[in-house]
This record gives sequence, C-alpha cells and structure tokens, in this order.
Amino acid sequence: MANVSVENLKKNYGTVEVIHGIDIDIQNGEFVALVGPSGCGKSTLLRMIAGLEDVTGGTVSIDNDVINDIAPRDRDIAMVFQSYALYPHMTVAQNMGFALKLAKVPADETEARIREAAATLNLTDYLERYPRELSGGQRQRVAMGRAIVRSPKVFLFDEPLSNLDAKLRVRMRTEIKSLHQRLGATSIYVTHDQIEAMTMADRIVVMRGGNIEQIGSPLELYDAPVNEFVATFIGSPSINLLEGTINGAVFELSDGSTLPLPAGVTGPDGRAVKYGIRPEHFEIVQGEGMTVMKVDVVEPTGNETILSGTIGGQEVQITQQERLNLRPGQEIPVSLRLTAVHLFDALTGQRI
Amino acid sequence: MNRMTWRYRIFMNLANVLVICFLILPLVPVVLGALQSERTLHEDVWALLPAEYTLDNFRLILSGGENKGEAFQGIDYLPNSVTWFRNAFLNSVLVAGSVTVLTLVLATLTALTVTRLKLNWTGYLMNATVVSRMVPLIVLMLPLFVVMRNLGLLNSLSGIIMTEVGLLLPYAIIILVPYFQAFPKELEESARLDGCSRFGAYVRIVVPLSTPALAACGVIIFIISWHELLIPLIIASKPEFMTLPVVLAGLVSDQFVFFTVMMAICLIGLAPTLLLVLLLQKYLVKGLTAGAVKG
Repeated sequence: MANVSVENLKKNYGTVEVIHGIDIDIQNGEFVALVGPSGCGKSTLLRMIAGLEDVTGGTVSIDNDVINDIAPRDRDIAMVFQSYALYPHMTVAQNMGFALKLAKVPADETEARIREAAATLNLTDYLERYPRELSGGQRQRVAMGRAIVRSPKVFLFDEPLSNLDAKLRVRMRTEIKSLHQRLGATSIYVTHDQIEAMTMADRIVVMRGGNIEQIGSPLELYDAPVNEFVATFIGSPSINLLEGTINGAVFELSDGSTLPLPAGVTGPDGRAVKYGIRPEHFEIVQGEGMTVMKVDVVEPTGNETILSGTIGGQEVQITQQERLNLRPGQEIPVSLRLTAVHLFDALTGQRI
Repeated sequence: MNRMTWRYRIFMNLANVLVICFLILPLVPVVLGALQSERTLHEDVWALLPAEYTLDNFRLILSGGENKGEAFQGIDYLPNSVTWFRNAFLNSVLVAGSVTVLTLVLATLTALTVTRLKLNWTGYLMNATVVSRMVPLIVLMLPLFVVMRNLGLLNSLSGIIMTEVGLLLPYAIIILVPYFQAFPKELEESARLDGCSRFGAYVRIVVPLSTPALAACGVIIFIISWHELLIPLIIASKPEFMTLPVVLAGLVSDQFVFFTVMMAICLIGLAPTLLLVLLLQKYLVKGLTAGAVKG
C-alpha cells in the first residue's frame, strides 16, 4: 500500500498537449475514481501512472519516490484492463500466478496465494480452465484475481466493468468495493460512468479536456459542483439548467416568468446566469407554487416517477417519490428547495 | 452460409475436382517415370503405363550410385548429381531448416520494431523492405557472386543460408507485421506490469500466441528455400555443397538426360514439404487468414 501523487503532470502527443499540468494527491488506502467524457485524458493519466505512457512533464510519485523513469514492471502496480487482457494460452491459475512466477516466488507460496485469491473471488472451481472457457463475469474476476495475488502497492482499474451487461456490472461494482474495503489497497479507478464513480469512490476526480475540473468526495461534487460541467456530469437524471438573467431579487427566465433566488445571492441586474436545480429538489404543491410546470412525458420507474416538461418554455426533468396520476399536457404548481439551487455564470460556467 | 441448390453444389464440386486434377496431373508422369527404367521409357514413349515396374531408380540414388541394379547395368558414368544425392538431400534439409529458423527469428524481431517501437524511421524501413522484394533475383546474381567471393563465402552452406535469409526476410516481414499489428496491445502491457520487460512480454506472450502466423510463415519460407535453385547454383559449384534443385538441374546436360532418376529425386524431394504442410495444416489455414478479421 502506498500514496500516489501526481504533480504538474503533462502529456504531449507530438505537438498536441493532451494533459495540461495536473495535480492529484492520493492517500494510502484511498479509492479514487477518475471520471470524465471520452477523450478527457483519464485513461492516459492512468497509463502514465502505470508507466505505459511516457511522462512529458511533471512527476508521478509513489511513496514520495519519483517513478517517471521506472519501468512498469518495477513500479509494483497491478492493473485491470477493460478487455481483461487475460493470457489466452494460460489457465486461470497460470494467469494469476504469472507475475509471481516472474518474481521467482517459491512454488508453494504461489500456489497458496492463488488458492486464497481464488477463494475470495469464487474462482476455485475454475483454476484449471482457460479464459475462453469462462463467462464475461468470471474473466473479469480472474483479471481482479491476477491483480490481488501480487498484493501490489497500487491497483489501477481501466473501465473494468464496461464490457459486462447491466446487471452483472452492478454486482461487480459491489464486489470491487467490498474487496477494496477488505484489502484496503490504494486504488485508482477510471470510468466514464458517473454512477460507478459515485458508488465506489472515496474521492472523485472529474476531468475534461486534459484538465481537472474538481476533486472531492461523491457527495461534495453532487451538492457543491464548482461549475456547470461538474454539475451536469454528476447525477442522473441530470441537473436542470434554466437560462435567464438576475433581476433584483429574482431570476427572470426569457419568457418573463420568475423564480426566487437562493438566500444571499444578489448580482448586477441583467447578469446572464444559469439556474441549476436537481430533479429531486422540486416539490409538487397544492395551490400556489413558486412556478408552474407543464408536463409533457410521465415515466414511472417504480421507485420514482420522472416527469419531463417545461418551465417558462425551457425543458426540465423532475423526479417524485410519490405515485402520481398525471397526464401529459397537465400544468402543475411546483416549489423548489432554494438551498439546493446553484447559479452558474452563463459565460464562464463557474458557480456564483 | 447461404443455402446452395444441389445443381450449384455439383457444379462447384466438379470445378474444384477439375482444378485439383490440373494441379496433380504433372505428378502422374513423375510417379510413373520414377517407377520404370530408362530403357522401358524409351521403348514406347506414348505408352500410358510402363511395361515393367522397378525400384532401381530409388536404389541407385539412395545408394549414391553404388547399387546399380538391373536398370543401370553397364552404365559406367554417373553424374555428380547421382553420386552426391544423399549429401545434397542433407544439405537441402540443413539449408531450408536454418533459413526458416533464422528468417523467422529476424522477421519476428523486425516486426516487433515496426509494430511496437514508435520510431520515425520504421515506416521507411517497411517501404525499403517492400521495394527490395521488387528487384528480380537474377539481377542480383552477379553482384551477389562478387560480394560472396570477397567474403570468402563461395562454396559454403553458410553463404547459401545467408543469401537466402536476405532474400526471404522481406517476405516474412510483410506476412508477420499485419499479424502483430492486430495483436491486442493490452496483453503485452499487462505482462509488462506483471514483471516482464518489453522484450520479455514479446517473447513470453506475443510469440507463443502467434504460432499460427509463425507456422504459416515458416512453411512458406521453407518451401521457397527448399525449391531455390539460382542462389545455391551461383554460390556453390562444388558437388559437396549442392542442394536438391541443383542436383535436379545437373541431371540435364548436353550429353545425357536421366529422366527416370530425375523423377525419383523429384518424388523424394517432395516428401519433406508435403510432410511439413500436413503436420502444420491446422495452423496454416488459421494463420493465413489471421488478422484479416478481428475476433
């Protein structure tokens, strides 16, 4: 186990800079998720930590030792790949024991460690099989097993669940998290799925275009996003962003209807802002509400109902826990939880 | 697979059989020729089947001209090709075997450079490789002879091997590079994190998983080398360094042609390539299509 730190890290492909000097400190035993849209540099960052990509500038350190120029095999890092990357010509046991064999660990110890890892991952019955004889979920577990038998300083995961079907993905998510809780190893997990990041990570690093947008615990990011990008990236259904201007003590939408501003927010009149509020922070009220929503689509999911419609001519989605009897086209009075409202500058996207 | 009508199927099978017959037809006179004596061959050249069968041709070449049998009684002069046959066969095995192994090793290393190391000049290297295959071999013969003479490698098996490796390396590289390009990179990366060096990952993971491609490539190289006439002919003039194709060529001269002996040598010469193809058949089909389609 170890702490990993990245300082002013840069990566160029030819003349194009894809990672623009980023800093992250990962504590011993922490589970950190790197999230962001495709091409944001999260996988490149992970591969630089692994040593599979050269570092253009800055440093990567493990336990305060700079490892920029250390070969991947000497970094004591294990990585689980998206495609699992199991060696097809080796059995499950050989796959798991490969690293130990290379490290010249005595055969009986290797055997014991493979057995232990296999027991943890329910793979004991499959040790003599070849990867092609396993299902997707089992292969995924072998890939995990191959990492844990080594007891490395750091675990890296590169979108390990994206090749699994939805149901299995949820189960493996839980398994990986419980495994991390048991082993307590420093883990860095790359995903584009914000739900995975939210549910598994101690801290999330949100990246975009080679920069870090925000680092924080899942709920910090959810409750206090620093900008519009983080706000829309985290949460499903996505946060509602209504466009309009500040007008005295109210927010005025383009059609002239108004919404109250959160306490303490004032601004120059006419400042263009976006009014961000998450779907679950709406309440359907009897009588007079803060505004009126016109319902277009009603989607019951069982545990909640998603209502899509418009407020002041702009699209919004709200979720309600109650079972509702609503018809498309109906207009309903709604109130907002003002403490949960975020205002973002319309030009810079930064939170006000 | 689309369902074919029975008429279409019969037509396709018939066409297939015809092509196979066309390819195998030349073998028929070879087999029949090898099994008769020169005398019966000349008695009636239009006869479809030999008047009498004999294994004397095989006895003669396998005994290096010692055992003349009935068919060759009274023949005093035997060309070097007959007396040195056994030696030539061994030379051929040695040359083709060494050429195949050396070419595969060098081509695999080149393929590693071209596909894995991000160097600017590998593109030019590949172009040079392709272009080098466009030069007809016969054009190179004179300069090759001079170079080999200066290196003191004339009349040596190592000279033949070296030249053939140089000739066949581009073929092997062109066959192997696309295969290694299609090879999933994660496997190597995973091995490098597991404790292999770049080269170690290549040797432990990439090469064992490339057996089909290496087998296919190896068979092609072996067959070309086994049949190569020009290079050994130019480099080796002494009978002790002859290979099989040179032996065959030596049976045709101004004064004599040993037809039936030639046919017997052809048959024996076919055996190793045939054996190799049969042994590696399952790899061949896989290897030649590997890399074409992902999966």
